[in-house]
Amino acid sequence: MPRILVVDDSSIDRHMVGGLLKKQPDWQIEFAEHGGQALEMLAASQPELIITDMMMPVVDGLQLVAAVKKQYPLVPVILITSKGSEDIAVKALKLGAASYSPKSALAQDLVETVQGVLAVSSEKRTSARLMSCMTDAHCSFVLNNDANLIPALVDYLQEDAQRMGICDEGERVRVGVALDEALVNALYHGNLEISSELRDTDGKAYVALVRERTSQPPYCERRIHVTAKMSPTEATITIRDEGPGFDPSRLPDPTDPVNLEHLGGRGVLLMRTFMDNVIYNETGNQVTLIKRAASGTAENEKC
Amino acid sequence: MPTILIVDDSSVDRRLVGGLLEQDTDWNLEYAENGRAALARLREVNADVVVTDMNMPEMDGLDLVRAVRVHYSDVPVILMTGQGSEALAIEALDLGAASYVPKSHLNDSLRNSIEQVLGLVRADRTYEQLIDCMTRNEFTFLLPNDAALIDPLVDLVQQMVGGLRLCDPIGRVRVGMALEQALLNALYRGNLELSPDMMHQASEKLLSEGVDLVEQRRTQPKYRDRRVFVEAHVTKEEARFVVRDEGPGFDTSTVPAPHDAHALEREGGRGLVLMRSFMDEVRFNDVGNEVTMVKRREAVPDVPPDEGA
Repeated sequence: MPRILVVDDSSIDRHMVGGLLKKQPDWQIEFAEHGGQALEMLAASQPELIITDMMMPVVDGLQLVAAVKKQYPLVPVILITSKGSEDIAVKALKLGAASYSPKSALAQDLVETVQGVLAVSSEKRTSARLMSCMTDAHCSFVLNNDANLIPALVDYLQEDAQRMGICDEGERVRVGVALDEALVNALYHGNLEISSELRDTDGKAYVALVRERTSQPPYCERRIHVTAKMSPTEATITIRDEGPGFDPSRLPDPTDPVNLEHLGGRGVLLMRTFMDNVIYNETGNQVTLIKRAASGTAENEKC
Repeated sequence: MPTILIVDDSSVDRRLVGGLLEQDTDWNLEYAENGRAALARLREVNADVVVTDMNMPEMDGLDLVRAVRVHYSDVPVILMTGQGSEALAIEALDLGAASYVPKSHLNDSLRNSIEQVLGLVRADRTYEQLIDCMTRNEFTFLLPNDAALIDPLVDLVQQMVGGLRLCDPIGRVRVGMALEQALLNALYRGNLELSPDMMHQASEKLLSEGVDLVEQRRTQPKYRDRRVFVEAHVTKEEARFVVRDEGPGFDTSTVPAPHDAHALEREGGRGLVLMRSFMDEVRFNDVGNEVTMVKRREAVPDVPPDEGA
């Protein structure tokens, strides 16, 4: 029995929307008078769907959409739009609202819109439930020197790690920063052999050299090899480039605060801080990043 | 339009940082003069990133990082570190900050760092290009007895098989069907011990009576704790699947031979026939509660996987 939360500051509108929805025998309708109250109710338990007015006191429709998207990404929001709120509605749709229904056409449109959104979101929920039953994942990638692939790969790995319960929403960004640093390093320093000093001193020359080497042997023939192993307790990600490597013993000591001032050691410092273990091979062209699940987060208990 | 909250007790520094971030961005900038004011501001605006100074009166950068971690755990914090605040910054990085920029490098690094962090917050991305770079994908699942999970799992496997270009779109559908049959078998016949007939009715949802029996068994102690174990290995050369249930198994000598036409007629034979026809190898263990299926690479013209799927 789907629960639907209707958020509107006008009691007349709440009554009207509620009346339309109550004709569906198995929908259970709840009400909130503004976004703030809606968020309080969401914290206690989440409905299958939210229908919200745009203009409200305390927390308006736009703020509600933003907050729901962040905190309850699986709960879809449908906007009720009226004359004068079109611009905010477009913003809210961009922010993540699932659909909208114009106030002037609620009687004809609302129920059908809700049905459509419920169908899609139940599919997403099932898929999320499936993923929470995953106990082990192992994948390998071979990338050419295309920086555009890095964000997608980082996102893919973050998603896997979060799904397994290795990191929560907050840790997710930190794991992402560490992976991003390691991949950028493999691409520019490893495969293309371009120093970070050049980037910091002469940005234009740096960009030109990157472009040149991306199509010049031997640099352009080199690949980045990525292997990720994930379980509910640990993620191990190995990143290897085909460059000449470096002497890992010369890396700045990340525990020495003085090194914070040197940009060159920043990537290594971030990797060391955000991961539980960072291991270089002897030739310095391969790094293994290990992240362990924080104790007490047993995401996989669901199955 | 991302919102960046800048926290610094010096009005000159706030203006400096704001100036750096205003140019050529559509970022919405918000300001606070210490950690306490920042927390108050976070209650009012949905900030995407917080950029903070370390040394401040009222509440310093370290305490701010600590508080954000607790109350706004999805909002990343970037530290601006200066001489004298290094030790504090290291501690803040340990506690939950997402990145840092030395004050002496704000000009050339602050924007990049914010962009990096913004790019790492949850985004709806497509993995199309990335899947082309994948060379191997393996996973295991432990599923409860819920038929609703079968479709998404079959979808996922079809995507993997398609992404690694193991077979053409039709071949992909056939792999999906074989796996679906193996999963239905494990769930209904294996774990819930339903007869082929009941299983057929349940999967087609023809008889509400049949569905009730499924519901009953799913909650009975004898059956409810059983799981379906699924292992998939897909490389560019082959796909290998192991599906195991926790039921009593069955007599594998009754499994029809690969090209036994009569099996098509036999009760419950359909699933096996499909599995046999669509996979290159289908093997049962002796007990009959585990099946291993292998699909080898089909010669596929080297074109991108079909866009229509």
